[in-house]
Amino acid sequence: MSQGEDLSRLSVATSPHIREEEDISAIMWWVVAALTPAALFGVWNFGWYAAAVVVVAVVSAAVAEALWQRICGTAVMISDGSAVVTGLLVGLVLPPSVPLYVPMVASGVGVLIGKQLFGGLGCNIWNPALVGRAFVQIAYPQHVTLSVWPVLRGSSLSRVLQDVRHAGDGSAAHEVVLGATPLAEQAVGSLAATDGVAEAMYPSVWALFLGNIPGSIGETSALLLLIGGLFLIWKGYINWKVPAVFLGTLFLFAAFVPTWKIPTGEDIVAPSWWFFGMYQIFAGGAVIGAFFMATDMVTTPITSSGQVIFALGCALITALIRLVGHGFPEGVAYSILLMNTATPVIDRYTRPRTYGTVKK
Amino acid sequence: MSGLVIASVVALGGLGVIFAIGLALANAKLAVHRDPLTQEILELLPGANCGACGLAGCAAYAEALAAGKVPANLCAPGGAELSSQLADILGVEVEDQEGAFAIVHCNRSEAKQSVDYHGIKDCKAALLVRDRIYDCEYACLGLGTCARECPFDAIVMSPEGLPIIIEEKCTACGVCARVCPKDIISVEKSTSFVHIQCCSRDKGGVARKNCRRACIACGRCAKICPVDAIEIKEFLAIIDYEKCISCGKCVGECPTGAIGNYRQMRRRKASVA
Amino acid sequence: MRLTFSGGVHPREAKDATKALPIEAFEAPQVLVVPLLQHIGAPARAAVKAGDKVAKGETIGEPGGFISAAVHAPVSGTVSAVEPRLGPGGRKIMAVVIENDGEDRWADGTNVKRDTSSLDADTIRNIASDAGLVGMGGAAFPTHVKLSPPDNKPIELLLVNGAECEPFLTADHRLMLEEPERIAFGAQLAARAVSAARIIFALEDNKPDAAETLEKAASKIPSATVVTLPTRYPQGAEKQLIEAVTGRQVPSGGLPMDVGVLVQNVGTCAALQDACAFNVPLIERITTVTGPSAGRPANLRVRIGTLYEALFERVGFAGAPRRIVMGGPMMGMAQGSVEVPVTKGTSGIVLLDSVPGDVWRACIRCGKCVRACPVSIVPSQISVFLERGYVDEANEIDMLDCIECGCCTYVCPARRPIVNWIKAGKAELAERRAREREGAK
Repeated sequence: MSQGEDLSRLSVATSPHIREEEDISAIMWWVVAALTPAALFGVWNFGWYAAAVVVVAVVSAAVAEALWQRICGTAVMISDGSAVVTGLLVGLVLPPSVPLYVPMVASGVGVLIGKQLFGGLGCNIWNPALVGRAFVQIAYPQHVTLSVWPVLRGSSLSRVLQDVRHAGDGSAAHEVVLGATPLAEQAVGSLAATDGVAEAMYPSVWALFLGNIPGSIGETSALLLLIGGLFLIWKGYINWKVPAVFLGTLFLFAAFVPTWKIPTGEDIVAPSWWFFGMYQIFAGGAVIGAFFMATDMVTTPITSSGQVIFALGCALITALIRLVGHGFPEGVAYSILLMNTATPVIDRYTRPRTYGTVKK
Repeated sequence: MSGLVIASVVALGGLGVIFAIGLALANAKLAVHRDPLTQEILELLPGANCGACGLAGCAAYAEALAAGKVPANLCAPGGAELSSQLADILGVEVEDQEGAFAIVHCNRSEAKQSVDYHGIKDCKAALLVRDRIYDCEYACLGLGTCARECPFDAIVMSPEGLPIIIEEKCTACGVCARVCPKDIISVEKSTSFVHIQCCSRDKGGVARKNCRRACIACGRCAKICPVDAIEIKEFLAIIDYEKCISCGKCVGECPTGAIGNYRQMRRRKASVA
Repeated sequence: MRLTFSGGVHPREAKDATKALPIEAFEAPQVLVVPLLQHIGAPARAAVKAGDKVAKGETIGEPGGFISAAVHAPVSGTVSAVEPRLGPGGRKIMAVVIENDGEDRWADGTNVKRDTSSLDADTIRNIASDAGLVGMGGAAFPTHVKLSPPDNKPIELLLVNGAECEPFLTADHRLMLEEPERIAFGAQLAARAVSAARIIFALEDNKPDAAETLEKAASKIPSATVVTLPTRYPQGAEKQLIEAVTGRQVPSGGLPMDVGVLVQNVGTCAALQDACAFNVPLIERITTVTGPSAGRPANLRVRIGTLYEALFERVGFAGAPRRIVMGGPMMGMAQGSVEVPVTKGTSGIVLLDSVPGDVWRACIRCGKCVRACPVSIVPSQISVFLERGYVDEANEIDMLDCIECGCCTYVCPARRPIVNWIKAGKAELAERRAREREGAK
């Protein structure tokens, strides 16, 4: 060649010869970024101990992944952020009062049993963070089940309200956790005020939305989760229909629970259907689940119609566990895990119609 | 509490019994009835379904054997031992089956790569992009399709990306020869020790330019061969194994070292073992 | 209504380097290598032998069947060899090597004006066949075959494809800008050949200047309109263009004629006008030589058979190219050598300075490929099957409907070589079917 460029060993491959920049680690780190506001709020709301829980969860997930990959002799992929996402989610769905070995075990189980045993990122059936969470919920129920779980159950509503009042009296965990910040104190006040003032019995919808209520570290602030979720929708990582269908169905289900039938007493007032519906959405893990877990790429259906079916199933199972069942106050995690199991079937029956073919 | 325990035990135990009965019935009802002779033969066959016999897997060969349609010495993986066993069962005579190995007819260990291939590591897929990766268009592509397809794990890829046949494991089933899109592998009797390790049909000068170990069709091997077993066809030396006595004279005569003597190699291995 | 198709991607267009550069004539080099197979179908049969004198435009390869195309001498000179030479497909194909005598002497009867007003459909088809016309958008399907629809498949609409959706390429853009009359004239002849009532010129909205010139040229044709489509790849793929413009979908395994449409590339229309009005066969084309490693990118009018290395001497390098692609970067073919000739389908030569990595990971089921796929298959699932060698399972979920446009692989965040697997899977399936047919006999 006149220019003397070396053309003796050109690269050949099948087309296409260009790629979009975005890779797996970009997606994962943006998800981390989207979760950060809610995590910071959790720390502000519940105090530095909550930060320790989250950090332990993240570090344990990363260490578990690195160790496993080192042992298996495969490339260590910590920098892709997938273990960090798992650890962060584990931390955010744990109560702020857990001993530090709980996030460690939850992250370890989530990453190792929930993900790596299946072959690593992309091969797992269940959401790793929820596998870890479900494991510790069963292994350490005394730590993981909140004494002040803020979800009202329809079928035994009056009992729950009594639970809430009881919690307001000040159990140890409660004070440790909720007494940490002014916002939390305010939340305690509103929940605990039982002097026959109906409005004070429940936190306001506004408080629920902003997040100054008890709950797991990262799940309380619907507002900040919504901002993170909208960011992910804008980035195209999650389908807006999933949270819309999930939360919408949950609201409708709750709104139809006959709350007026709840026996009311001198200091117990039945909530309105509007309040009860909003309560089901904003208290507990529904928002974080709908935006960040029912949208997990690996473990949920791949087509938009499949994702809608998935979200619908999650909402119905959540509602059944919360409102009809008696065993657990919260059902978001189990509903998503159950629907994860159904994902291959949903995928099979929601394949899009191929161009130029007639739908079979 | 005890009522619950009893109820659970009864319910689950009952279900277990019902399913067990169902399975037992299904087993009896849906059993594949095989002729006992076929079954006996099938149990002897290696079960690799490699297709070396020319039939679609071991079951097909077993049926054909039981029906007396095919000779008993077609199973390369089973070797002589298996064919004599089969002959006993079937009450027939078999010709002695000689051992055989897959032989790689390319040794481009110092050849220059003409392109960098990027993509899935499969020789057939690479050929969709370009007919060669090395300068020589006949050369092994080195992406290991043969090693992956070998049902007996008898092929490993060398650091230069050439297949190495592990003869202890090779059963001469011929799968590698079938899947190689460049046709550089063949199955040869184990009594043949001398093999041409090149399959370039380029003219001598071109072949030499492309690869230092290429057969350049100089014909010296053919000249020195005491039994006239070597012939140059399309600029490539071809050994007629019917005539070849594996004397190895051609090996030393080849100016490019394109002829391999497997006797020494096998002996060396035997002494190590 | 927004005219569009489903799926698709929008890679960086990268057309700025050449879109404002006028087409330049590239002088025919000393030696030309003209392959006898530059199209889809049977190779042409050599009509000359070494030592023959040939004139420019003389037939040097006769069609090897109905689905085949003639090949003509792009220059006058002497045939020095008829032998296998490296083609753009990465393997050797028969080619006629011509030593250029530099005289550019036309063959008898070529390059003479002909009255086109009296040409009937059959004559136009024969001219297209004699002139060796093929689709010039890249696929290179023989034009006379497309101009011969059976009687039970009437063509209602001629769609003239000026989408040029591939990044980097501007050859069609410049053609539409500089010679819109050639396109419009050729389109009328193509419409006449298939008795299409309507002509639609379709192009993307990133070429507003070309839309204007085409509009002007089309205004003289009563049945013609120009539509501008939102820029998105693969707009220029036949089936996607039909869906975008008409809303119709070509049945799976079918042809555009099944929905009453004929699609012709703008370059093909221009070549058809040359063949009909001047009896000039297809011996040159416009090709864009560009890319990050191209020194002075250009739109060149090049004789078929010009070797890339000759073009590179003119264009020069800006650093060593890592990959040389014939066609666009989404569907083009990587070349392992610069001794490859320009063929009828060479819409561009793109010199890339970097190549995608060779490491991929497990599918994370993000669904980007599903959303990007213009034929609505599930590339991720097909890739998971094919990675493990399950060709039949992949076939069951419509692997064969894949048009290999590359959108899935372009967007994949796990960097999976999906198109690579699908191409290999299709080849494997074809091989198995051939074996089965063999077995059945």
